[in-house]
Amino acid sequence: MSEQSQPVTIKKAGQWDVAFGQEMTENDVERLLKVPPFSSMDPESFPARTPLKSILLNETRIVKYEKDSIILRQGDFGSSAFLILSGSVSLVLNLDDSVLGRYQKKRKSFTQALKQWWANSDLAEVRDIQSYANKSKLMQDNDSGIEKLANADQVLGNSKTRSLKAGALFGEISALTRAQHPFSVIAENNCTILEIKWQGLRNLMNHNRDLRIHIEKLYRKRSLNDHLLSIPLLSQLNESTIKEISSKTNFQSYGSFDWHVSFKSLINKSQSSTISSEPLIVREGEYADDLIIIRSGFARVSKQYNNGHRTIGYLSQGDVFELNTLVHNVESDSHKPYQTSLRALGYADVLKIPSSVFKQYLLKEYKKSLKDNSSSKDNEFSNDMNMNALDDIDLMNFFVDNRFINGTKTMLINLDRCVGCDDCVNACANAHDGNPRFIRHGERHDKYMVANACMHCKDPVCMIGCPTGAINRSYSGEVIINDLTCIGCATCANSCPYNNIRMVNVRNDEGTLLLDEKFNPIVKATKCDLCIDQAVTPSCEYACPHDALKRIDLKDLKDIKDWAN
Amino acid sequence: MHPIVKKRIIKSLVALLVLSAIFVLDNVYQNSYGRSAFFTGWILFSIMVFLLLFNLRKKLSFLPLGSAYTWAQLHIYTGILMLVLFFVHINNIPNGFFEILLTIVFISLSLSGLYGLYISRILPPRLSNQSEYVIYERIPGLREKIRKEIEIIIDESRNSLQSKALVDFYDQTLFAYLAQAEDFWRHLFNTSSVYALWNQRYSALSKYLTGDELSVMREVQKLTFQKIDIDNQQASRSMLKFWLFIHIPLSYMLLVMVVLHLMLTYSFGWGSN
Repeated sequence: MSEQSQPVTIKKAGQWDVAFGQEMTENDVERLLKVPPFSSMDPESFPARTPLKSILLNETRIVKYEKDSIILRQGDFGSSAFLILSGSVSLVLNLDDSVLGRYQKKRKSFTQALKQWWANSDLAEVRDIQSYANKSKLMQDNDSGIEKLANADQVLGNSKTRSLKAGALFGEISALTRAQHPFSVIAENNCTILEIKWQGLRNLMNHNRDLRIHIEKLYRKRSLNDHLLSIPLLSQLNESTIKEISSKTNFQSYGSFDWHVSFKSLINKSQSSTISSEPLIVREGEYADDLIIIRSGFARVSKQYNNGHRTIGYLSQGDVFELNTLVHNVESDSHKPYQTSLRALGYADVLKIPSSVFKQYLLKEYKKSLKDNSSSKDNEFSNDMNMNALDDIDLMNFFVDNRFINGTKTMLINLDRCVGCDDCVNACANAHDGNPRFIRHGERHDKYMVANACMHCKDPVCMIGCPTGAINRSYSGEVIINDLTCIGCATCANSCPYNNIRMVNVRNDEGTLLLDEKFNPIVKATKCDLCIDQAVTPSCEYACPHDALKRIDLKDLKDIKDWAN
Repeated sequence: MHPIVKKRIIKSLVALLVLSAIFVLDNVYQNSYGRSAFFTGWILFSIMVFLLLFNLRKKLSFLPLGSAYTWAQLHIYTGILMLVLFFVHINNIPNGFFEILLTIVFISLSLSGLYGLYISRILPPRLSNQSEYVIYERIPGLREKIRKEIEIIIDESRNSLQSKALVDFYDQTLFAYLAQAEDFWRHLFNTSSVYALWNQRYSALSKYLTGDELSVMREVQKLTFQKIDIDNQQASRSMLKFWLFIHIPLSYMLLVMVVLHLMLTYSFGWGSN
């Protein structure tokens, strides 16, 4: 007992304990400093805490790609920007998943899963100290190899491509907006690329005005062109038409990118004051003269009801606002105003295509698609699904007001079925070395409860500000925390608007708390990882004998209705 | 038709189909060998082992053995099938001591299972209708919090209020009621009677109070009703948790007795027919 009470001290993890590129050397950094845009940067403008050289050394890495290597896959979540140092790359749209050789998740085998039965610790939050000591080695081992495109000439010949040469930057939009890559990137020839972690890119932008302006310009330009191409209504148009539309499209941002900061104070206010504080995109009754498309973020659709507003739905990325109203206006002489209001929920990027452009280039496409999809129950160009699927305005308000619409794997509990057996909690604990990663408690509406479990948000604001990139998105979209690189700063836990990240003190296998050199407890961020490495996923849903718990993408409200019935 | 009703009808039809198949096979077996109890007995034993595996499946939640919901549905329908088969198997009222005991254990196990099924369908909607969702383990803490809040209000009232009626009411009636969970069975079967009783008590008390005293009483009454809500939650949640403490031990007891029954049957019963 006396031995157990002795504190165990280990070195506390630091921001740059594990460099992004293990192979980066001082010489590499010196060479980079001679290349634009770094050559024009003034090292003096960087603070002593984050000097330019250290950013380049610790938050970038140089990667060499052979011809036809897959650098980025369309649809993957970005966390890095890429600067071409030599060679050239192709930006390619809509490559088949099989062509891209998407990664299979590394799940535990049956025997590995079974081993957990006796290998799980009886103590809370036990960590293997040795793994912290060996973390650099582990991270290198985990790096996945670069894959190449098979039959590249044939595959690329059938796809829309655009070429980027040395000096060009790509992937910065996804990295900065925590969004999926809008295209795949393939090496056209042997090329050398500097990969910059988004934390590094943010640091560079913060201290270099030219880079910031350049990236903002690229962000607006590429976000617009690429997004227009990815919208179903525009996807069949040729590049010159897209450019034409793009030149006449207005791109506007509403709200604050760091919406989570104000959300926590907003949540306690009444619905009317919450709605009135949301930036207005379109007011009900205004003349419908634009095709309005949500580029990113969320927007509330509401209708005036006496002195307040009734939320009747919400729009998210790719959704179109009141398309039918616009079609009516361009086709007939009678003018119809917007029937509802549209407000940014925290933050929304909006594209506005003028009605004249819509009429000239898109009306024909729209009518053709209507004809093609006449038998389909959902019109892919409207957001009918989000509007009507629930038939429950109060429940819709509940999801929208609490911003649960952000969740792609929200843990919804049907309290009419839940007997409180805790099988879900036990299953979660079994899958995480005896530590449950959620709390079976949370916000309630009627018979529904949204439990305090990571929702694996579409817009994961928890990732903003993580100094080491420990919290990141997996290839399949789960938001996960790398325990080895987490320094316990609690930035993610404080940023999470839903309080779904917990900071825990960790201990060794004898139960003794781990302390740093100053005898402060070693703290780690923990949360649901959707059982990413387990043989069954997610364990909580799989373990519920009453079908009372479901992980739901709140974009698919119809799923909720089907399940609830 | 409601999707759940549709699903239940399909499951019941499948169960009936399986039962019919067993009856047919039982007849064939009986016509061929004349000893159908062996046939239905082994089927019963197999079903019992399968039903017991559900508990193991719950513990092995990390293995890809099928979802717990699928297992639970199979457990329910196979359990009902087993109940019917059991009566086919015994054919007549058992007469030996061991067989009577075995029958009692089996029927108790079946009834506890059916009761568990019943309350798991009835109590959760009742609990979800309450304004607050309470985690079972937090109930004692919440009750203590309410008790302390009322105690503070009453202590302040001892000197400030003219009438002693509220303080007397607390000392004589409320104090003991707040100390622990009360009215367990009434909460399970007729929870509204508890609310009605305390409404009557406060209504009677209000006749002796005026002005400020009434507003203090209403504050105490509100907290008392919160305590009643919590007692109600505790009664229902206890029942939902603890029926398994009867069902699971009974199932293991039955397993031991069935193994003994098999040994006895094969030792002494084989030659009798």
